[in-house]
Amino acid sequence: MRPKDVRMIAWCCFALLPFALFAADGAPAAGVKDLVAALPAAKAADGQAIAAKIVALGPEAIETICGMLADPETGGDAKARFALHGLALYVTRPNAEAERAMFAGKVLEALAAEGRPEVKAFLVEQLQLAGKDEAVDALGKLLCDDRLGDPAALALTRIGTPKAAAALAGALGAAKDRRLVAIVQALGVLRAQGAAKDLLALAKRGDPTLHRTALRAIANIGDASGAEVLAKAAGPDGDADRAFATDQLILFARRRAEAGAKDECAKICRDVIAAQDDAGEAHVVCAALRTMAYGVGADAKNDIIRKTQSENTIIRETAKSLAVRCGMMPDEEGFTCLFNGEDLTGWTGSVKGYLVEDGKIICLKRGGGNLYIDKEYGDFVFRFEFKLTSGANNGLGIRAEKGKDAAYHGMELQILDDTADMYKNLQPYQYHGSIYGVVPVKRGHQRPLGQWNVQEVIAKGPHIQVILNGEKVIDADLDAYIEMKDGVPQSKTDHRAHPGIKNPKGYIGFLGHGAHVEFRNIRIKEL
Amino acid sequence: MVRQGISRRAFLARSAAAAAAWTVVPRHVLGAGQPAPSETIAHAIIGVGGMGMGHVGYVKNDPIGRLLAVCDVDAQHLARGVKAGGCEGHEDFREVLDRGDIDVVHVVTPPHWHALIAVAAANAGCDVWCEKPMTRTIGEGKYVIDAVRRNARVFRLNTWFRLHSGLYGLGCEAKPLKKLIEAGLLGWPLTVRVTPSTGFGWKLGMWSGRTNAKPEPVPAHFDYDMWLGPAPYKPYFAHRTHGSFRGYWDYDGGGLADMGQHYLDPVQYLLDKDDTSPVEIEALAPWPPHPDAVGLWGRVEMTYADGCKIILESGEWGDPIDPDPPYIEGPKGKVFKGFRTEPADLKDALATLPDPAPMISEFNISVKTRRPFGLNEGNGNRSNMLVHLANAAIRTGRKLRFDTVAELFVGDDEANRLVDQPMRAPWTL
Repeated sequence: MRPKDVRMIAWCCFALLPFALFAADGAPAAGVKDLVAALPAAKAADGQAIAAKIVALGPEAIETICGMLADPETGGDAKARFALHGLALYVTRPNAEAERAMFAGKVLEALAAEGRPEVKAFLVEQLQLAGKDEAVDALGKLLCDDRLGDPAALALTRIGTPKAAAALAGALGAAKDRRLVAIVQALGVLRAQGAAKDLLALAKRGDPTLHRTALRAIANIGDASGAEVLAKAAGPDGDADRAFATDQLILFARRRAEAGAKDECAKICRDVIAAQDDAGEAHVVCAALRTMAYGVGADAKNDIIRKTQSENTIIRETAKSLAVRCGMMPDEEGFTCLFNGEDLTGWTGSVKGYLVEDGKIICLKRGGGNLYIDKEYGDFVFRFEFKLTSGANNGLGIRAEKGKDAAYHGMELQILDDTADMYKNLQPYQYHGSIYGVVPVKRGHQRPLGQWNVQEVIAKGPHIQVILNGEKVIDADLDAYIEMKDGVPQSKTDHRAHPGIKNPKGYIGFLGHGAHVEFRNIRIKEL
Repeated sequence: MVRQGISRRAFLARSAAAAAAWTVVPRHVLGAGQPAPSETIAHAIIGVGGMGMGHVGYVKNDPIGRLLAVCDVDAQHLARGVKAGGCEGHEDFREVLDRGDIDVVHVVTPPHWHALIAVAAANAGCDVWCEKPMTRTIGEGKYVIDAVRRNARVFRLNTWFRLHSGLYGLGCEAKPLKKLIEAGLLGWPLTVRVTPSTGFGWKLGMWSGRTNAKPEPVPAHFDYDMWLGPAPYKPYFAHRTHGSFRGYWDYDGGGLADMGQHYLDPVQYLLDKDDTSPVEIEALAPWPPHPDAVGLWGRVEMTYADGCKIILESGEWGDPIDPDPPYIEGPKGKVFKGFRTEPADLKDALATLPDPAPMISEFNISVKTRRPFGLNEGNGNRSNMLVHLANAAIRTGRKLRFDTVAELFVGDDEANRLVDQPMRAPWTL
């Protein structure tokens, strides 16, 4: 065949290709229906490829599938529901905004043209996944509809933009009963600052459900304007359900603290605590204490410590556990918490090499360095927990001089993953728990890698003990391991000078050597 | 019923001073061997369907438990529960919490109500005994933890396999496995396989939802609107509710959510992962999922940062599964169904190994001493999250990465929509 003919045939095929997608009866929908019939697919990748093909067929394909929906009385549209839901999931993947917009646009068109309430509800549910600001106007118009008001309010909550919040607020005037409650709730969930004042008026209305929902929303929004209505509701002349109102007031206090109004938070919590004089509302006192502890921090210390002396067991125990968690009080008899679980307050040195997360101090792999407690200790019991990663190398410096190598200017208690291959040929005075270079450790008591270990260090004059996971692995009189050479202490074990080993006091800290190690539950008792 | 007066509940501390405030009934008035009311613990059960009737039995069989009330939105279930419990009945859980005389509230509704009722119960000063899965979504868990701790309550889930009892078809309990692991005899990291081959059936077919059900009239004795509560309204048909609600995403999560915490909580305990979650989750399942009805899946793999893995296989969809894989596999040893081990003599070490850290395994002790139950709101929420992480991978059809501190998926807004799902008004956390 001549090249020109080939090109002609190729062009005809190309031009006719769109028609090939149509069934013999000429309906454009057939290709779509075959694709829909193939869902769900046995593999997620195949299912997503089918979704991609449907999207590639363009807006008419979406329109066709919407047209396949039936109301539940009729049924038979399971495949169409799989497909539309799958498409909503597919087009909301990252970097597919144009597809999402196309899909949402067609769903909105179908919604506008649709008469059957259950089908409309299903379409709104897909907008809960795939809708953005383009859907807000249409959804706003549904807020007063008995069947569609709830799904529309949820969709606007999901969209969550200022435009969505404005649409919700805009419907407050016309909505009634459950519709109004749904809108107020959505505004509270979205923490829509702009609606704060409207909600104050609604909180004063008679309907108890509306009142509760409004109080909750006002509390969650946390705008200063809400203080009065919440305090009144929780007060002696306030709500019949004073406990609920008080819960909202405590939530409001938390939000005020988050907004920077810590003094206001403290005052609200103190007033709540003062109002609960009898033992009847111990749990409210606890809630207020906890809100103060986390919202206000150190300024709440006196309030919390005072409640550790409460006659009420529940309040006392809660206050004590808060004091411990927040570094305000010893957890064991005579012990002081050195790490508040939240940040490196009280620590100094290489603070940038460590991270606080989830109640732990984490030595970063690309960080580390020496992190000291900002106080010197002489004789003490030091307790902590640690978790290692493969090959980890760290150390606990004690009686150390800041800014110097703690192993020699103080002591370093080795922290090491003993099981690592690269450490298989170390000296006994180099393994975990050893006083590095000086006192060898009794090995074999580390927990398997990845588990938390418990360690205690007792330092009394020259007598050092290390207890690892309940087993005493070091019980040493330093004097037995040291000899003086030219007035400088030298280890009889590694034959090196350890000038600081006889320091009567010094700093305690973690000595990061470039490995990820986690620490928690750090406390000390001075002897 | 409107809440009365100043306080929701006269909250009495368990201290000597407070005990004097009780009118203590002398033992001889009660009859020999009866605990005095001040020594007994008062229970209420919210939700007396199938599982709820089981809870009636728990309290009845507890020598210091007194069942004071049951609650249900189905009048027939309620009547049955009142009769079996010999106690009062309520239609609305808020009335139960208003009573002021309940120590422990059992939350035995479908999961979409768990968080709301558990939080309300804790706020009302009650301890909580909650069915599994602890919550319907990942996002709800933190509210339960917060409410329980703010109110200094104790919380337990209705599962117990990390504490005692044989692990289903596996052929042993968690304790000996924990001892082997803690002694390092299996090495680290570990992979655990939870499949019918290792003794764990997922019941997917049983708990699949219907995609073609026609609406039915709501029975007169059933308050469907209240049963739905925070779940979106959908036209009623019986299969949505009562014995088969597990088949619908709006209320639960299929067989995975049904058995998930029973099977996976002990695994989490064995792997010492109570304070963290997997960082990578991937599933093999049909896609897309149905928006309403839970379907089948074949496999889910969850990987922790330290390399530990949990692999779920259903055997009810997808490729055939390995008939005899190890239940636990580590670099130094394996444990198979029937407590067969490699090396074969691994079990011999058990006699000399120390016991794992003790845990409170009797809820009454937690209630009386106020010390956390062995399976509580904290570690229970982490195993609850395992269930929902798996379902998220199934529903999105993608490999997911999870931030274990923020408790959100990394770079996946769509998966995060499953984490925090707004509730139907007026219900909210």
